[in-house]
Amino acid sequence: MLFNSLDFAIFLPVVFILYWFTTKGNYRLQNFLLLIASYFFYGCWDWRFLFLLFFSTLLDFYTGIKIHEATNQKNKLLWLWLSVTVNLGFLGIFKYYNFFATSFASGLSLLGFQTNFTSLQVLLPVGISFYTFHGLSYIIDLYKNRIAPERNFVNYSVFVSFFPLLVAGPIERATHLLPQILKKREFDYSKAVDGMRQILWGLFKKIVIADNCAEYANTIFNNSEGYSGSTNVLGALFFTFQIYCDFSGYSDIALGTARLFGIDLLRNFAFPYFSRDVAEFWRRWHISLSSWFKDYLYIPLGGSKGGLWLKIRNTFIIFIVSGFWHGANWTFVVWGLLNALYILPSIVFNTNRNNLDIVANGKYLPSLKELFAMIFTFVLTVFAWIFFRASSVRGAFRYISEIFSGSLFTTPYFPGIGRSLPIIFITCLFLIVEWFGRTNQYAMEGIEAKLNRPTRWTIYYGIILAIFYFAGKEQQFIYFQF
Amino acid sequence: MKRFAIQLLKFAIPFVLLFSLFLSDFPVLNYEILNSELEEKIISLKIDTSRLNIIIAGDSRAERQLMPAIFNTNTGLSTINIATTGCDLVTVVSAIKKKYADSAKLCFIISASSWQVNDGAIDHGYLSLNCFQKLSKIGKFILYKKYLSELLGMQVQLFKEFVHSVVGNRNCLRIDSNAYPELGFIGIEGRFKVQDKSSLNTLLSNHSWYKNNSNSGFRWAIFQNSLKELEKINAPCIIYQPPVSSYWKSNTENSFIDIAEMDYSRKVTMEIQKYKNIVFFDFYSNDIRELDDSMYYDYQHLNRQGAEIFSGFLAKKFMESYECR
Repeated sequence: MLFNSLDFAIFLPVVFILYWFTTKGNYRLQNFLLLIASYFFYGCWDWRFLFLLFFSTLLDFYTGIKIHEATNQKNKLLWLWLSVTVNLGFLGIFKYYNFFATSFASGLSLLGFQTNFTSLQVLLPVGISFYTFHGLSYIIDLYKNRIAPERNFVNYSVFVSFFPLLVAGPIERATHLLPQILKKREFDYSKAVDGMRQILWGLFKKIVIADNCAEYANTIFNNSEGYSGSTNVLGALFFTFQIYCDFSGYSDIALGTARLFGIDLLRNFAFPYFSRDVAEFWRRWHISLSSWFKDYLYIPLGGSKGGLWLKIRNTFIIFIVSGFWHGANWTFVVWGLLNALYILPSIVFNTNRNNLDIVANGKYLPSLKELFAMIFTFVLTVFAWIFFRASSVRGAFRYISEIFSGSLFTTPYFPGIGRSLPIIFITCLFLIVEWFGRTNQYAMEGIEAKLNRPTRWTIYYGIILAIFYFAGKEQQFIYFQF
Repeated sequence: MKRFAIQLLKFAIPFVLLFSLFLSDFPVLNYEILNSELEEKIISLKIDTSRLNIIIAGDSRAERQLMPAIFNTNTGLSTINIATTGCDLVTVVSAIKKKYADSAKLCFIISASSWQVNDGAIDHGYLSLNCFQKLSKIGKFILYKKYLSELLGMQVQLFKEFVHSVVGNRNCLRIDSNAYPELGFIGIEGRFKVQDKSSLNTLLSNHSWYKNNSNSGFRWAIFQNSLKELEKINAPCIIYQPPVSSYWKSNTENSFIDIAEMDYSRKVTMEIQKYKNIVFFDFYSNDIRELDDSMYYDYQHLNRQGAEIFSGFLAKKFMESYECR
């Protein structure tokens, strides 16, 4: 069941009505209902994976209690490793087994050894990377005594499987989400209205921009050899906006949906394409994953406390692991590595925390320096996305070589370029809206204070019409595959 | 909560009203042929119904597979072919009602491929405007639930047809009296190339005719109603399920495609037994031995040579059926 499907448009109001009208403010009933709804939501993909989700939840619930009850450090560590090994084991089998096996076999064949490995013909359970990380954060926080264990299985299950975040995040922390689950949720009018607005904005990003950009990005990436360098640049730009609007659109819908149920999720995007350097970009892109890696990998590895070389080593580890988290393909590893290289100068010169505030705060337009910094960062990001989008590293290099062919400065052309012009125009308009809304949680958040109701409603109707008008074939969200 | 519900309702009402207006039915269009290609062909052929006996209609598998000249020779009856690509039974019936309802001596031979009853076959060109017009609002939403923009596109087309019918402006039709030198038959030369297994599997799994196959839904009900309307016209009709190449059959045997075709044949056979003036020939299940794979330009369409043999065969079957009546 996708967020942009008719099924979800029926499912959400049904759950919403049941949640607020039948539970009578009893948080146990609310949690029970959310759990059933979440399992139904997940089961709509493939009911067989419900067992995996259930087992993973049960394991972390049980080991969590055991870690807390362990009388000595050795036992604590034992339970921690049991949970980490089993969780990462599942992830490894479902997501990485075939990749490692084929890479190993290719490596051996280069040395002249022929091997036969058995590939696993299994589907990747949707959202496994996300709920595994949820569970791990809970277990690690327990081990570090940051939280107390949750002893009610239903409450804990809602923390892991709350349907808005189940399949593609944001990757929540027990310290943030569990306290909300453990208290009674009262209906809050402004929160619900804001949630609806965020859902609408997310749908606009996904259906109007991402799905339409996807069509042109696919056309160009799939036939890049036949197109000029400038057309391939356009293809990379289409993908740049596709991936941003796809994932941030998903996050907006998830956050908005959660708010309808009185729950605030972690923010996942903060206008990353307005970043002035790559370090800032990573503080604004997929924030819940970046901070997860920072808290549970970078800092345990020593963070930035052990001198320059350690800092560089840790940064590279973080980015390579982060790339690998996205998928079992060398393209993601190279993408991660490239981002580590981008960030390297700011680590060496200790400038990675230069841009902590919002660009051009309190001003309409950025300064020239800020503008150039934003454009430079954007170009680096677009270049890195080529590796993310390509089906192989060789394919990515081929695409780049086609960009830097003699036809880079010609007029771009591909079949359907005429049809793409309205989307290019809407994307530019979208960037303007994002720019003026960059101080908010999401671009449309501040609309209520600035505009009167008729104007606001006209805008909402316009967005809804655009969603219907530009809706193509229902497309899956990119991050569902991770 | 109450305030939220009221605001939501206030917001939704104008939108729902506007949307309902946009998605409204246009009963006036029930009497129109919502297929400009078919209308253009009928006008271009300059048909004199007083001298005409047989009308061949339907989709590309009549347009490119049945030669009126062969029927003229083999039956002695004046024949014309008005079939066009993607033309389903619903559209054919609306054309018959509009243009030939009073011609009692006419006989109709209509090709009816299985895609026209499949609720999942809604790719461009596989759901006619006539069929769309006959779908209920719920039916439209269910069929297009994953393709809402296409639903809007179809509704816009319907709205344009409504405007045309109200204003009476049909000047946009392109009439060319030289377009059909073979009485409406369009022959295609050549033969298909055998593909490797993986390309064939890709083709089969993405085939628009069998997408999300569901033969018992809204479109089947509309197909049944079209048969009832044909009965009311009371002219002798032959409906046939066209033949396919043996290469196609051997590669799809027992697959979802084969099951869909067999299911369709079985259902149409059962349904048509209710009507005295309609006969059904199933050439999917009953092979015509004379048609080998060299007579197909693609897996499901006969080339000119195949069309010649098939026309002769069907003309013979027609005479047997006609004389028997």
